[in-house]
Amino acid sequence: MIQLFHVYKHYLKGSAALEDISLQVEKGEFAFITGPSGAGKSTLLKLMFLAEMPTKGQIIINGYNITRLKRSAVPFLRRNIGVVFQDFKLLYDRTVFDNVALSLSVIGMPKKEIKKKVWEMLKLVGLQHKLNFSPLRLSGGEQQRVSIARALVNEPAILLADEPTGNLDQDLTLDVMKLFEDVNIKGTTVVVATHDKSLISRYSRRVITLEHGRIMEKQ
Amino acid sequence: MLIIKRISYFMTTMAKGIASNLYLNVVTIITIAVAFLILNIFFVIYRNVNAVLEGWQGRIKIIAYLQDGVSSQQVSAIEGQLKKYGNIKGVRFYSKQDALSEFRRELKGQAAILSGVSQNILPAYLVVMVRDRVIRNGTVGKLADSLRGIQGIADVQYGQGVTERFSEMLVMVKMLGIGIGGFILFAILIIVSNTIRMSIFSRKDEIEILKLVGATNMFIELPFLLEGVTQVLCGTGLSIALLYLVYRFFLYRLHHAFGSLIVNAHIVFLSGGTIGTILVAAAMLGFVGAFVSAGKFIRHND
Ligand SMILES: Nc1ncnc2c1ncn2[C@@H]1O[C@H](COP(=O)(O)OP(=O)(O)OP(=O)(O)O)[C@@H](O)[C@H]1O
Ligand SMILES: [Mg+2]
Repeated sequence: MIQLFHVYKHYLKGSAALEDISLQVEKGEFAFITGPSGAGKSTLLKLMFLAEMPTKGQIIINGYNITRLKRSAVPFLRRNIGVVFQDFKLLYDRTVFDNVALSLSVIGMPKKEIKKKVWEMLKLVGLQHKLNFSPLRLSGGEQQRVSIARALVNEPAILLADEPTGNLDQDLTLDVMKLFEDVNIKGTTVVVATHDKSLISRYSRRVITLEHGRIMEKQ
Repeated sequence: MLIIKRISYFMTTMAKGIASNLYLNVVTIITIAVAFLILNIFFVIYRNVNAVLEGWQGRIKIIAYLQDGVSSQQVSAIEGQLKKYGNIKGVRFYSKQDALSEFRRELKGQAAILSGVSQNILPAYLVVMVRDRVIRNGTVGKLADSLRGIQGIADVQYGQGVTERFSEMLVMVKMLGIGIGGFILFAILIIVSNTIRMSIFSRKDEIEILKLVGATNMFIELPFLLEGVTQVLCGTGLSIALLYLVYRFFLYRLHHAFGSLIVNAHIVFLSGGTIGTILVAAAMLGFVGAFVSAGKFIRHND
C-alpha cells in the first residue's frame, strides 16, 4: 500500500514540482498517473521508490514511513519495489540473463536459485531463448521486457513504471501492458505514469491526474 | 554473510573495473610504484646507516686521561661521579702501570720500540663505556665535553667526528624519510582516490541500477574499495621489485669497482618485516583513498 499525506516536493532549483499531494494506492490496485509534461508524474514516482525525499509531508510505503526511515534501510525497502523506465536502464555490457539476475544477486540469493528464477521470469516475458544475448541485439520491446523481468524477478509488492511504453509502438505497448495486468492479477500493486491518453482510455482503471504539481479532481 | 558469499562477484567486478579502465589503472600503478620507490630507497638507506651504527654499539668508549699524580682516593671519587651519569654504562680504571702493559700488549712483536723508554710517561686513564642511545642520538661529543670539566681529568678522547657524522646522518635520513614519506603517502592517497573517482564515474549507470534494485552501499562500494587496495598493492609490489633490481645492480657495480674489499661492507635490503609492514600500510592506503571517493560519489548522493 502507498499513502501520501500533504506531500510537497521542491527541487533546489525551480518552482514546486509537487504541491499538497494526498493519495492512497491500495494493495493490489492498478493505477495510472497522468498529466501534461512537467506536471510532476516522474517526481511522484521517484518519491515512491525513494529516489527523492519529499520536502514536506509523510509517505508510507508497505507500512514504513519513508520520511523517518534510516538511510541504511532504503535498499531493503527498495527490494519490495520494482521500477521500469521509458529508457529501460539496462547494462549493455552484460547479457540479458545477467541484467535480470542483478536484482537477485544484490540480495545474496544462491546462484542455483538465481538461475532458476531468472529463467522462469524470462519465460514469463517470452525471452527465455535470448538469455545469453546482449540487450543491444534486442528490439525496444524486448529490451523493455528485460527491464520488466528485472523489476519483477524478486516478486516485489509494488511495481512502478514511468512511461514504460514511451518508446514502443502500439503492439509492443499492448504486450507490455499485458505483463502488467498479469502481475497485477497475482496481487502486485501497479502504478503506471503516462501522458498517453489513448493508452489510459483502453483500460478502465483508476486515473490520478496531475497538473502543475497538484492532483486534479475527476471531472 | 552476503559479502563472503559474493566474494567472487566482488573480485570479478573489481577485475572488470580495472580491465575497463586499464590505461588509467596502469598509469596509477606505475605512479604509485615510482613514488613508493623513492620512499623505499629511504628505508634502505636508513636501514644501512642504522646497521653501521649498530655495529659500533658497545665498541664506542670514551677515554678520560687523568692528570699526573692523582691519588687513588681521587680516582675512586671520579669513578663514583661518572657512575652517576645516566648515559654511562661502566667505568674501568687503568693505572700508569696498566697503561704501559696495555701499550706493550698492543705493540706485541714490536716491543723493541719501547726498549729505550726508561720512564713510564704514559698517563693513567679511565675507560668510559657509554650507552647505545648516546650513539643513536649523537650526543657522544656532548658527554665527552662534560667529562672534560671534571677535576682530575686532563683530557678526553673518543672516536671524534665519525660517530657524530653517522648519528647526524641517521637523524637526517629519518627526518627526510618522515617528511618525504608523509608527502608521498599523501600524494598516493590523492592519486588512488582520484582514479577510483574516475572508475566510479565510468560506471555511473551501473551504480544507479544497482541502487534501484536495492543493493546496499556496501555491496556497491566493495569492488571499488578492492580496486583501490589492488592498485596500491600492485604499485608497492612493483616498487619493491624495482628496488630489489636497483639494489642488486648497485651491489654488482660495487663488487666490480672495489672487488673483494666490498664483501665486508655488508649492504642489506629491506627486511621481511619491513616489506610486510609496507604492504599492509599500502593496502590500508588504497582502502582509505577508495573509501573517500566512494563516500563522496556513492554514499553521498542517495
Ligand atoms: N532533478 C530535478 N531538478 C530540478 N527540477 C526538476 C528535477 N526533476 C524534475 N524537475 C522539475 O519538476 C517538475 C516536474 O517534473 P517531472 O519530471 O516530475 O514531470 P513529468 O510529469 O514526469 O514530465 P514528463 O511528462 O515530461 O516526463 C518540472 O518542472 C521539472 O522541470
Ligand atoms: Mg516524466
